[in-house]
Amino acid sequence: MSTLLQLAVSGILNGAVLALMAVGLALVFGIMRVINLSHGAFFALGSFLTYTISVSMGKSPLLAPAVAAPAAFALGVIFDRLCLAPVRQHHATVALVTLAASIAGEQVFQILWGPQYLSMPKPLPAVEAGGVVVDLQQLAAGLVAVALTAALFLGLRTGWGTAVRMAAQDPEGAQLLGINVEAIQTLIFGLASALAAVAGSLTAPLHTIHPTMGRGPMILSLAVVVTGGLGNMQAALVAGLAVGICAQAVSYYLAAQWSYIFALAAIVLVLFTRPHGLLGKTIKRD
Amino acid sequence: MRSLFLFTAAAALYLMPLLSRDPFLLNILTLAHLQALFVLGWDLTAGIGGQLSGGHALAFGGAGYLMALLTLKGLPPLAALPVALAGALLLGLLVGLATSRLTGAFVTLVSLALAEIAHEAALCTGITTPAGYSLGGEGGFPVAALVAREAGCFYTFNYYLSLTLLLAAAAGLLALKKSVPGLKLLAVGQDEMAAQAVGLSPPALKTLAFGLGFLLGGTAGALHAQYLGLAAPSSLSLELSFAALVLAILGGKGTVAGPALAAYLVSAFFPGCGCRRWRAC
Repeated sequence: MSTLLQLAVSGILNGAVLALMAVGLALVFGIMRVINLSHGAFFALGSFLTYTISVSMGKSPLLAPAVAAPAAFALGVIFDRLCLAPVRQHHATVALVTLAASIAGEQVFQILWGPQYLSMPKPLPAVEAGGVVVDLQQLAAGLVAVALTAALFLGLRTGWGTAVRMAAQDPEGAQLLGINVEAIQTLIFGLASALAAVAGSLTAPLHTIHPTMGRGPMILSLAVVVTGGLGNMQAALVAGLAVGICAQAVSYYLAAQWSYIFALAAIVLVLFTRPHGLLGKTIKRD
Repeated sequence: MRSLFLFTAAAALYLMPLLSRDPFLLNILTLAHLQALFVLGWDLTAGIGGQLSGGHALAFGGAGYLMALLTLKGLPPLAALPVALAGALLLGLLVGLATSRLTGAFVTLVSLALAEIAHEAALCTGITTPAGYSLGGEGGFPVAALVAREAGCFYTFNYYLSLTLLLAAAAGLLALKKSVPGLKLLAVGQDEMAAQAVGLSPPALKTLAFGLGFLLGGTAGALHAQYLGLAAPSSLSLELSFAALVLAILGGKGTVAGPALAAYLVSAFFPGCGCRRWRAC
């Protein structure tokens, strides 16, 4: 029983971080209708900045998300304006440009931090409560992820958030109403990048840090978003938690590598039975 | 005009070994031929069939691993090659079946997921031979070559083989684009709903697009594996799938000469610029 509880707790905490990344990705897809392949690079950026702050500068890594988020936001906004805005109309090209950015990002990380695997000390210990070992770092990551996701959903209910939702539903109609859709697209891209960086920053003490560390989380969050139904943020949240729990269970009962295979296989099966994702709607275009 | 240029280029490539037998030159050109064949396979699935496949490396690595496993069992490489190609075709049909009900980004994602599953499985699994060697995992499996590596004509043989198959594939693609099945594939690729309204069957044609694309990619993979003597997990990696995507789009999705040209640029021209022994060329 305590094993199941342990798996559930670890799975929910892992899934919360995965959901944070997935929700950002779903937001970008909802606004821009493109698959953002640079999400993993921003995740890795958050981890590397946390490493630098913690090891090179000696400050507490708990401050790191506060540094990583604005940095990633700024980089995301600059990247969007320079590289994505000119080709906004061609979706395939935008996907390719974000892919190019992620490859370039990996190489930049390799130049700046070297190709070796880095690891940083954990600032918070693991405690035991009621037979369940909880890593406080993982708990902190999960709680912050939940708080940010809740803030995001609440933010979409405000006046600004409504404008964002309108721009996602019908860009041309929103423009006719005077909403600056271009600015919203840039800001949302920056926001999603910041969320990915925060996710990477929070989980940095838990993984080894290396230049290509962003690929796995990116594929997983992409798969979570697609399974939930592209653009459906609530479904991305639910699917993220579900995938987190199941991946933890598979990792425990089989082996760590098989959890990745399991997540991918689950996505293939889900899409085979429900071609538009679990909660996606068929969009009729005329 | 363009066909004259292509004909001249093909003739020049055929005559090139008569001028220089430099192994470095033959090597990078052979690798370029195989890369071009691989990218043409992606171009068939995506440029003609309209299915932006994100897992083309599965064809490349799958055929390579099949060659490795068959030659490990004792089958001579010449007999293993057709079986590996048939296996690649089968893999393509399976991927096509898995994605036949999906559209757009979902197709890319499912094909990517299937290739990644194969990649992870290749990294995790290994076998131990009766002699006590442990094969598989990161190091990959050895593959017997069609022509022995020690033979003097190893490089020339592989050069001409890969070039001939590349030109055959290119000619086949050009003929396909003008043929009725090719037009059906193009129709499904451009507008599925309209194609269905005209009476075509999008799932069947999408499966066919994947199958044919994987056949070409698998040919490249099988030849590459026997040329290098190794079938490694890197032949199933995400980078390779993305390389096919990028090169084909860069060269011109849907054309035949474009992706091949992009593959030559990246595989032969840029590495060749590092060649310092000009007097041999």
